[in-house]
Amino acid sequence: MALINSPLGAPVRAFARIRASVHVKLLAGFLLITFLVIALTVVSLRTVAETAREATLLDQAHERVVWSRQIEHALAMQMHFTSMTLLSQGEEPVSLILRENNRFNDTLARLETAAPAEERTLIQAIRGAQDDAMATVADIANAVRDKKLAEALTALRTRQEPIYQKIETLVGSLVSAEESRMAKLRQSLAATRRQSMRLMTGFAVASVVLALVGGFIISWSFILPVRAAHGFLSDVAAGRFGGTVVVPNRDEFGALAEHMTWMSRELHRLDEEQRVAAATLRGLNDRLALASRAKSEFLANMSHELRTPLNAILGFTEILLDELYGEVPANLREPLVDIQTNGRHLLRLINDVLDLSKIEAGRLELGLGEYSVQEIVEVVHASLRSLAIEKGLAFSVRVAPGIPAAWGDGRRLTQCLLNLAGNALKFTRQGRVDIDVSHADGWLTFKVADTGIGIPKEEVENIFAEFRQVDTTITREYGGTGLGLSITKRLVEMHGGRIGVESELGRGSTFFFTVPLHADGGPA
Amino acid sequence: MTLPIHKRASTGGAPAPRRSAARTSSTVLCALGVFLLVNNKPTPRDATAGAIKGTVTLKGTAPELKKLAVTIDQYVCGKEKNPEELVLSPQGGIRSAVVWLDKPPAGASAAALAPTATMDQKECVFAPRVVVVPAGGKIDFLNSDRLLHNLHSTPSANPPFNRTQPKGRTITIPFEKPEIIRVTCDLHSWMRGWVVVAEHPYYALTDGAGEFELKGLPAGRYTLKVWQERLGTVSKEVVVGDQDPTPVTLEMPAR
Repeated sequence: MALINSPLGAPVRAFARIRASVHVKLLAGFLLITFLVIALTVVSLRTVAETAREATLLDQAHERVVWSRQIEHALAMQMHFTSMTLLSQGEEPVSLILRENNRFNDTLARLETAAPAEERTLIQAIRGAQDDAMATVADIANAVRDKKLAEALTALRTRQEPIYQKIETLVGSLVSAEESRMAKLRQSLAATRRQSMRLMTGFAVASVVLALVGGFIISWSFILPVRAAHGFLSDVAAGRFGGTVVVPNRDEFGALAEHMTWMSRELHRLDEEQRVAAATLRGLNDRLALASRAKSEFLANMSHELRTPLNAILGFTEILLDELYGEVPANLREPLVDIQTNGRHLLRLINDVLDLSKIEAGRLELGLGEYSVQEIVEVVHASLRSLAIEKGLAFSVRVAPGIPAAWGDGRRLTQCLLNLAGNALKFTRQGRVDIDVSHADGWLTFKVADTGIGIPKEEVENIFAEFRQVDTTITREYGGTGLGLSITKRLVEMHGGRIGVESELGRGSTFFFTVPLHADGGPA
Repeated sequence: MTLPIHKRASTGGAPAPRRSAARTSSTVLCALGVFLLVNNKPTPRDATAGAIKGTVTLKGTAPELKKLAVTIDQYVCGKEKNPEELVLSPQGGIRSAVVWLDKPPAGASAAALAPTATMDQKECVFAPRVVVVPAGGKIDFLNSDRLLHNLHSTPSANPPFNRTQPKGRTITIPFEKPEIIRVTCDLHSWMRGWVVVAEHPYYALTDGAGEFELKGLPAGRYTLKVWQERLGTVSKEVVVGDQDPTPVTLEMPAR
């Protein structure tokens, strides 16, 4: 990021502000590089062509120098053969002179065609001299054939030699002209090479610089908004809504940033709304809790108030039935027993309601102390054995041997087991009810299994809620307040334990609860 | 060259009534001279009325001629030369063949041949390749090439010549005796030229179509001879009668 804050940051932001899509920007970058490559290629090709042209020119100049040398040679040979002709006066050296002269002519014609314009004048001068030389050679040859030696010698001396000297001078200047031309061409070639070298180096440096700067600008113009978005999204993730993403880009990234800002505002608005709603709910909840506690207190008070007269009714009924007020007529005994039974039922109901409301009002406290599991089981068995016999059900208890003395509210746990076993007996028409207590890893498990009507799966979850029985008709058939399981659950949980059931409709149920051997961290 | 005969007659070989006055008088004089020399022969109806107009053709398949490779002075002469020892028209007419009467008619005289002919050397070729010159005539040899040529010939009847010739210089050589002479160039081996020195005026050179015409002939029986450098000499009897001009085809067997 240090680079971005440097002067290079300005072009990056300027590039980001260009109103064009990312696609177009990248394409433009690639096209720029492609253009550079093409330009480089064109320049290279031109340099190569120029070099090739100059090399060809050099070759041609070299060829002309070679021809000029041939001309000089032909000239020398002519002089040589002319002397030989004069000496031998034969036909053979004559034909050799002619041969050399024609070699001169042929090469000169070649040279004339190939020569550059500025050398034409020089070549024309050679041509003119050569025309004279040709005539002289012919004259000498014919004179020798005609045996006019003196004439031939004169022609040689007075005509051929000066002409040949003239031609030699001219050819010499031609050669030096060609050589200086070659020198110039060589220099030019070297200059072209140097220039192309400089050009290539320049191109290479420019390409590297352009690639670096272009790459930097383009990549950072894309990285900057991504970073901004990243920071912004981190804020959002941390729950800080309502921020804005500010990017200089006017491309897809710019559009994205705008969308994110908008999204953030929406999130912020929703968050605010939710906060208000939560606060409202919290207030309502507090009020509801208050109302609920009031209801529980009212119920607890009511139950207490109800129990006093009910105890009086039950007490007097018992006294009547015990015939402390005299003999009870036979026709009154049955209604009195009914009053007692219903009274006791009402008392149990009131006790249950009182317990539940105490629990809900948070006023029930466990009377913690040492208790014996064996004792609890025996009390339950004793209380319910008559009922089991009455219904013709097998009723067995089993306590795992070696359970040490436990710590908890023995009275309440007895109530729990009594509730479960009572329910089991109540809802079983035939078969058996078994109580089983085991101990493992500091936990006690109380299990009550029956062969009763069972509980449908969909009801298993609700079975521990207040005033719930599987079927409202069940209440009528089997009686009960429907508060037992709920109270049991609360009591078990107060011990830090857990309650559950496994059941199969029509085959029976197994209720169980677990409590720690030492509830509430009591003495080991 | 398949022009109708009457048209050729009106342009080239003009019939007698249209001749110019000067030409007519010279012809008459010559004819008179010949007539005086051989006056024992039967006098023709009109000493200069007849003509032979014919074509020299090749009989048989044309030989395949290779192009001549130029081995020297290529820059002036070119890379190769067309073989010109036998040049045929599409119809098989032979160009540059020389046709003449074996025995010229006594007492008759054709127009005299030009006493001076020209033979140039251009791009290392003799042009024309065959030249006819009357005995006692001259040939101007020219050189249009910008190099040296060397005229060389060793005739049997005429004196030999061997001359070096620069460009632009004219070498004139006289030919006294009738014969067929070969001319070469010492410097360029492919060059060939032919000088036909005519014994009498009844000589003709065929054109590109192989056609020729001999004029100023009295009616009668003649032996025609034709020479071509490659094919040699062929003879044929021909009778010149009332038909004017007498058509003839000279066939030269290929070899």
